[in-house]
Amino acid sequence: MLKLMCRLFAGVAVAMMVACGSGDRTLNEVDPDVVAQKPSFAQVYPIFQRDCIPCHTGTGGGEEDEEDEEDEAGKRNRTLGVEPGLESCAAIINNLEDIVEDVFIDNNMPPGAWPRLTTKEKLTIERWIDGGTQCD
Amino acid sequence: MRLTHVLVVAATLSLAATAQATPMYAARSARTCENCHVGPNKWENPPLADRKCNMSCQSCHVDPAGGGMRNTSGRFFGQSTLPMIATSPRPTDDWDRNAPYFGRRDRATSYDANLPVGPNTFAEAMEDFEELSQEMADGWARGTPQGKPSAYGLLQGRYERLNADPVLRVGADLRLAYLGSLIFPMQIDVPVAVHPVHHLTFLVNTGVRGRSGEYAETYTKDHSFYFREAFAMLHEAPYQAYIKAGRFVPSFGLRLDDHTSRIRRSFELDGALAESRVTGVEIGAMPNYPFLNASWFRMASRTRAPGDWDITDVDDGWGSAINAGFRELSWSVGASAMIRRRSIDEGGDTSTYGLYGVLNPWRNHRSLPLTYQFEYDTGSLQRASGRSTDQVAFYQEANYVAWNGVTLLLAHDFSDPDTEIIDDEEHRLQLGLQVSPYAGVTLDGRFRLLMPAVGQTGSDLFVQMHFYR
Repeated sequence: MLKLMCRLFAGVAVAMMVACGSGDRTLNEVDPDVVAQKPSFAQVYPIFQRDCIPCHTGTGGGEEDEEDEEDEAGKRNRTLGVEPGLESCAAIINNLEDIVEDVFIDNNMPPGAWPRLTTKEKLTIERWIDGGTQCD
Repeated sequence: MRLTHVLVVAATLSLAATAQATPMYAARSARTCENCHVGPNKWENPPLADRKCNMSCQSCHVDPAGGGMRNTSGRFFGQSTLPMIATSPRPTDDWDRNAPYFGRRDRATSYDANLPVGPNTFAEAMEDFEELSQEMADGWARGTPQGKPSAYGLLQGRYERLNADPVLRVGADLRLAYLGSLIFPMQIDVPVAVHPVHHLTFLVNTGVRGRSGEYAETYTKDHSFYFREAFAMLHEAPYQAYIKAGRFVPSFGLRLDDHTSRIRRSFELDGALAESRVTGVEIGAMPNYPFLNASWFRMASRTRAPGDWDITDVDDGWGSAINAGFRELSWSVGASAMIRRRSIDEGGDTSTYGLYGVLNPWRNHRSLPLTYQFEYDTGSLQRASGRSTDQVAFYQEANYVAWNGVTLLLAHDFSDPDTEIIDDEEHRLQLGLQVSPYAGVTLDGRFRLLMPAVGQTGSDLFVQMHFYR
């Protein structure tokens, strides 16, 4: 019985290692109503709160901000190597180019082995950007 | 955005491992009786209905569905088998497995003979109770419950100096994370079990998710102390049957300590989140070797944490879960199903089905201290638009116990959170080292590699320090 179980489990392990995903369309194509066509900042901000702001605290840093104008959180972020702060709509807009590159092109944020943003979260941010990045 | 040393701040600040052991411990423990209690003086299998020794969670945990506070067997395992230096007698099978330079430093083990301590029978234990009670030195458990115990009730003396069947048991569980120069708490749990009379137990586990100052200021969800578990339970019935009512996490699949695994997080079984807690009733039984847990419950909506102290705080909708299988000494298989029915506003309907198994060739081959486990889950969920789709996740893990208290770990996660969508799947690999130098202390370091379907591969080093009683 143990031999049988060993063979069975070995098969399971190999099958799992070579697994791949399914689906051949984007969320926007499959279910366009899953996110508002023009999301408000109130719908976007919780995504940043959960996935970005734990590291990117404050509002300073980044290309648009001089180092001497940084707030305390921004200075700490710079010390830790995490910048810019994304804790306001203006700070997010100021760093939109980097956000788009990291989230949509490189898909490397949140960092390390932390799960990336979901397709729904990405679509929400994408539509907010397409809608003109309104802060109201 | 540049990123340097602090690779996993975001991840770890929102991490909070739960005070759960791991099914791996249970899978390994069938090698010898002495993992869970001192060697039996004379051994005859009790009638099936009275048998307490099996591979199910209740052997080591107060909660029969597993996780959280350990009972006396679980505590004995944590002192005799788990650490490099044992503070209860080391199982004979492990005498030659000490790490280099740590050999035979534990004074609890005689190393010249396997000398059992416990009484032979329950009647004998009762006769000797006064004497055995005098020998107890257990600061975390007090008293003896009133009433008539079940046949073959827990024997004083069988767990060396631990109180076998206390009225009051207080535990503690603290997990710290280390990142670069930062050390901060991930989780603090204080479980209390009251067992005033035989067959009745109340368990309350008060816990908090970890946070740093920055996290508290910016994250909107409440991370204050709350009742992680709070239930009353009738148990110690024939075939280890029980019924409990209150707040708990539904029994489903493998109860991993790594709650970030997709087989936990994607199916609302993340033990670190208050949102995963439900309020309901669970029944179960664990005769050797089949097991069954079934629950019916109500819950808060998917995106809302229920009240910290009000375990009746639920929204509309309901759920039900069943978990059943067969746990042999060297392998086990199980299947689980769970449904949740609620409005779209509260998270929508989900149906989840899982298969899992554990293999422990170590029991048959002493030179192969290897254990393997896997879980495969799939099911449907509703998107916010109301349309249904499917998701898939699985997890597999292999452990190699190099020496007593030193374990190498290799784990693999996969998830496809929406099978209709392209390029949303992820693989994650973990290579880890777990070291338990002393009872109640475990250091766990893992190199983790995330491979999303598109974009860059990410990696980090995550170190966790776990202290528990």
